[in-house]
Amino acid sequence: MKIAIIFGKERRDTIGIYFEQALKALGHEVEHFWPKDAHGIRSGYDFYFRIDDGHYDYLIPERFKPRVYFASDVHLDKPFKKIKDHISKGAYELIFCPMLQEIEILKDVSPAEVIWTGFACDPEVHKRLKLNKSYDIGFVGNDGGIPRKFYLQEIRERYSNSFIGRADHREMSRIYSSSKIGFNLAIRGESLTMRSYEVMACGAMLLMKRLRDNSAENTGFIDRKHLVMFDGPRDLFRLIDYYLKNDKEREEIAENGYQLTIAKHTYVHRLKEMVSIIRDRFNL
Amino acid sequence: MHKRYILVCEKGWRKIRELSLELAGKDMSSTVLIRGLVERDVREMITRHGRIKNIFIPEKIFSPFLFVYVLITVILSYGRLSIVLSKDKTYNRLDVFKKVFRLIELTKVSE
Repeated sequence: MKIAIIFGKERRDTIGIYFEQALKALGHEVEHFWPKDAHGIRSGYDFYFRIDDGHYDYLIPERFKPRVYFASDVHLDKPFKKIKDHISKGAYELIFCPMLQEIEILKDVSPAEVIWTGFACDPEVHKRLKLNKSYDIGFVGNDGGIPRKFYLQEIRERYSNSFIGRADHREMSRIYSSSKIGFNLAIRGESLTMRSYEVMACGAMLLMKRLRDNSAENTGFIDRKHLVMFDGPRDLFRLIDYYLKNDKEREEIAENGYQLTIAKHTYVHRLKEMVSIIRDRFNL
Repeated sequence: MHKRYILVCEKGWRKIRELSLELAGKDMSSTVLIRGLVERDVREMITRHGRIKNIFIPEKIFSPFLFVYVLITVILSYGRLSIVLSKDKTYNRLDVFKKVFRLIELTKVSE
């Protein structure tokens, strides 16, 4: 298929780049456009794929159809407002979104179909390297707001032999592959985020806050088999201490998580599924 | 002269927290005013130190609370008052106090 993909490439680790690579790997003819150039796109593509990148000033012109949107920043208040506004005005003919709770809100305002699709990993970027597990805990990202910043600082203070902080995305594999445990606490805690898959793809045992729904189980991830979920601070530190002491059990969970992620949760898997839905909905 | 510390945490946490720990290590007390509320278990998770007093304040009343707190502290204490913060807007507002109460010291850190 011939696909116009539209997103900003300011960051090399943006999800749009993973999508673009995956579409190319699936054999599609993909051409990238910056959002500000959306008006200059010529017709002739099978579909126009807008990937959420934090820019909401440029929309795909109405003459290009079908317009498909991947809405990822719906967990952040300001972007969500703008995304909701665009969607309610019919800016897209089909919407994919990885957050279950927000999908329900989008469905209420959207004249177009809204479908859940999860985040994933890119095995070309998120690799398991054969390195010594020199860090107790690994977390790549910013401290975030309340409550994540308090959790991260407490981990820093209690487990000083850890990597907690920002890093170039090319360093991610080295950091997580060197970590016994990869920590994640999503900002709203209601989804397996990009970091969840990235940690598992790099071979660390994922320790994350328990989700209020069963979206992890629905995607095949079982607590204590593929990953470990904690219920609050006390539980978190009890589990960290336990899994730092029990190497065999920890590495088994890390291995199971890695195998499942690589087998079923790469962007190639996701895009294959999405393209198949797009073909079906628009008779392409 | 006795010096008091108020550390203002409006964004981030690491720098302010580490500063409070550093002061505690030197046997100096500090009050940390934190913008926003957290659940009780998260509040209790933060390792306690005798010389650090963390106060969580609802976002909506954070600014008035801060100004009243600073005012009361500066009136009731006779020594110097050092305020460490990270937001320009708050720094500029408190700068007015500094002109009136010469014992106030303002320091900005980047989170």
